[in-house]
This record gives sequence, C-alpha cells and structure tokens, in this order.
Amino acid sequence: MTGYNLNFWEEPDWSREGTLNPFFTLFAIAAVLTVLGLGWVNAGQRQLQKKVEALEMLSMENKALIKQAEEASSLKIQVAKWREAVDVYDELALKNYVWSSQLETIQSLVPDAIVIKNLYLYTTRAGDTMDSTNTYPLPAWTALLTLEGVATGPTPYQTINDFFDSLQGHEFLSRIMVANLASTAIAEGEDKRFKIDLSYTLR
Amino acid sequence: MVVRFSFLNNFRWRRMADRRGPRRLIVADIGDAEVRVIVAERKAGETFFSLPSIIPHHGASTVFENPDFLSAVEKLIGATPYISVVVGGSDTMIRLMVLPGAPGTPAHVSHRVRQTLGVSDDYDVVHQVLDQTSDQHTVLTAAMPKAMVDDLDDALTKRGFTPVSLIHTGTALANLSLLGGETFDRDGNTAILHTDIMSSTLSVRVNKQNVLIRQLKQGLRPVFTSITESYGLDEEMAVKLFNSGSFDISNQTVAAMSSWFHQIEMSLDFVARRMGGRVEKLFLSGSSLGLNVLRENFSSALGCPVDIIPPLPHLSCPSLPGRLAEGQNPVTPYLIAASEGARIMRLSGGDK
Repeated sequence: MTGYNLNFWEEPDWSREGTLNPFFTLFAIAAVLTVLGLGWVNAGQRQLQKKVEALEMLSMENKALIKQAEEASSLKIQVAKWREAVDVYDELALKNYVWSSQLETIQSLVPDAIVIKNLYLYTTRAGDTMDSTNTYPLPAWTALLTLEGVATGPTPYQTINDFFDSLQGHEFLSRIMVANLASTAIAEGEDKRFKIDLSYTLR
Repeated sequence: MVVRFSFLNNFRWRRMADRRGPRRLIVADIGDAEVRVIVAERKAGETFFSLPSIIPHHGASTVFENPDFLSAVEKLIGATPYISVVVGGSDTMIRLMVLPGAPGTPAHVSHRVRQTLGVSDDYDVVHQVLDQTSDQHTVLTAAMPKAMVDDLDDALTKRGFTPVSLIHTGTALANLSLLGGETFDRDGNTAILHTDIMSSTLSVRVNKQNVLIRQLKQGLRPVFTSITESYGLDEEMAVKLFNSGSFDISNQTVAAMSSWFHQIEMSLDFVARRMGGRVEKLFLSGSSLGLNVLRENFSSALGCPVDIIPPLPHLSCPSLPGRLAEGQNPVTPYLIAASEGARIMRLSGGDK
C-alpha cells in the first residue's frame, strides 16, 4: 500500500525530470558540434594561413629571382647591344683598318725582279671568336690579300719562290697571317706572272 | 532582468530525480503557528530523513512572506529542488465518506463529492475511491481553495522549486496511520488527533482499517484565548505558560476545550456505533505546543488512554533540532511531514 494519493498538484513528469530535456540535449549537441566545427575551421584557417605565409615567402623569393632574372635579361640585352655595337665598331674598325704597316712590310720584301701589278683585299665574317677572358663571343674577320705580279730576271721561278718564302718567313707577317699563306703562282714565258693569296685573321 | 530559456528548464547541475521519482525531497508541513520541514532521501531502495527544522510563523497564507521560512527553505534548495507541502486549516476540508451506489466514472464521483462537501467552483477537490461494492463506495476526499493551491504553487515555482505534491494534513495523517499500522494496532483500535491552533484533524483506525478521517474546527486557539483573558497575558506569554505545564491552569484549559472534547467524543461514538468497535487509545500528534498538557486534559475528559504518538521505526530521523518543548517527543512534530516524504519515496521505489 503506497498510501492515499490526494495530490492537489500534478506530479512532475519524472521520466522528463530524470532525464535530460531533449531540447537541452539538442542544444548541447549543437553547441558541441559548433565548437568542433569552429575548431575545425580554425585549424583549417591556420593551415591555410601557414600555406599563405609559405606562398608569400616563395613569392618573395620568386620576386627576388624575377628581379635577378630581369637584371640578367637586362644585362643580356645590354650585352646584345654591346655586341651589336662591337660589330658596328668592328666594321668601322675594319673600314678604317690601317694596312700601311702590312703593305709597307710587303713592299719592303718585294725584290727588284718582281713587279706587283694588282693587289686585292677582301674581308669576310668568319664566325665568332671568344674574347681574351674567354667569356664573350666576338666576331671574327678574315682577310684575303691577293698579290698579282710579274717576276723578271733570269730565274723568275726562284724569285717568286724566294719572295713567297720571305713573305711566309717574315716575323711580323707570319704573326698576323699565321699559316694561311698560300701561293698559286703561275709562271709562263720570260716574265712570269704570279698570284699569291695571303689569308689571315684580323683581331 | 532574468532571462529564462525554456530548453534549460530541465537543466540540473546535480540531478536529484530519476525516472521513478525524486531521490531527495523537501517536505514542509505548514501548521497554523509553525512550519515543520524535513528532507526525505531515497538511497539504495530505502528512505532516510534528515535536516529537520521548525520555523515559527503566523498564518498559512503568509508563510512565503516569513523571512525565517524563506531563508530555511532557500538553504535547502541546494540539496534538492523538489518540494512537497502538507497544509490544512479551517478553510480546507478532508472527509472519508460512504456514498450509495457504484462509483461510476471519475467525473461522476467528482461531481457527487462536490455536492456532498457543498463546495463551490472556487475549491479544488481531489478524491480517491478506497472501496466499492454494488451498493456503496467509500471515497476519501479533500478540498482546498483554488487560490491557496495556485498561490503556493506560484510561490514555490518563483523561488526555483519544483512542486511535487500538495496534500491535506488529514491525508498525511491517514497515511501516517497506514505507515505506523503495526505500531498502532498493538493497542487495538486507535485514533490519532493532530492538533493545531485553529483546527485539528482526527483519524480513527478500527480493525486495522482507517474508518474515519475528519477535520475539526476546534484547536488550541480557545485555550490560549482563555489563558490570555484569565491572567491578562499577551498570547506569546499565554503559549509559554501553557507549554511549560508549571502552573495548574486546568480550570481554564478544560473549560475552553469542552467543545473540542465534545466533537471528539461524538466522532468516537459514531465510529463505535457504525463499526462496532470502540477506540481504545488516542494518540496526539502535530504541533510542538504543549502536547503533554493536552495529553492530561484529553485523558481525563475522554476516559481512555491518551499518549503522544510514539516514534515510528519507519520514520526515524537521525538528526534532530534542539528547540522542542521539554518532555516533547523529538520525532513527533515531523511525523506528518515524514509520512508524506515516505509516501512519495514509496511511489518512487523507497521501501519504507
């Protein structure tokens, strides 16, 4: 017997009092999920921030590299300009090349038995050559000096050969004409005509 | 400004209830001159009582304006928010009635009970059919003014309590009679008179059954008035004089209690005629005011043994206050509150 139950008030819903309010439970779950979500978003943002910072660092390094590349590019352009300028200068220099010492030397070597009839001079571009520091390419020019003449006297062949040898063995000429000296001397009759090509590289 | 969120209504830092009922419950027995408060606790299927206190006050309607009472119960809200209230008074009713015929639907019973009690719609009426045959049914019923029921509920809810039960003092007395049945039945047919200032409640047990539960309009008020008028004292001094028992004031008290004696005699005679068994012992319970003096007066007037209600093993209380009158059984004032606590706890799985 549990006694007389004449209660003027309605007893609380004990199943509700003894458990959590479902709305409170939902609220608590929502709050926990929100906190977890915010934590996740925060962690994501931190990672994103780290990536942004890393990218910023890379960007700064890239900027430095770009600057260096731009400088290098600028230098390259300058070098090209300089090369062009050098080419122009060379051409100008070639135009104004002073042949007097070579011609004077050749003239001093011409024996009495030889009369120089024609003298031709061709200069051509022969690729590039490196500068003295072996860093920058420079244009190389080749000169072809052709002497046409007549040898007189009793031994014209000998005269031509001696003249040829003197040209080839001369210290100054051999220094600038290297081994490109070639002879296509042709001798016929008493006055023997000859043609000597002197090839050398201009520096 | 306090903002309340409805989804937090059921939030508790410490949950003091499970699906069966409260694990801890405050019970306030509101009398005319004092409130007797006790805490019932359910542990491992047993009910224990603790933290008893008696708070003096004047008038049941103003109990929630009494700072001492408010301070005492607001301290207890830390222990549990669940509270039961036992209250009586001259504007309430309790009746064990036998109605002819089968009970019918609860609405039908309720209608007949209201008619029999003669109460208006301003009253809340509760009832329980105890016994029924094809010829008649026995109904225990109680009535209280709606305003009183609602005011008490509002006052408690506003202070953060969760109201669990509001029962009439007579219902609690009848439950006490059931709980202590074995103890009372050793003395044969018994009656318990629960005394208060403005009224009293009588529960009669014959052949191990509650056969009468009745609220009497008589209480201790005429006694105090008589002492006040005879000796020219104020009421406080009159109460002290009555409680002390040091002076022979039986001439004034017996005369003032004659109407009370008469009502009790009529009730006991009614039971004797109807049930065929005379009450062999009367137990006194209730107010801490002068039960010893009342015992002597009732004993000589009714001509039957009268005793203060004994401590019941079911309702023992380990901690007791020290502000009881000399000679007062220390457990007695809390028995009504303890019986309601035990009832609620039994409903929720407490064995006692």
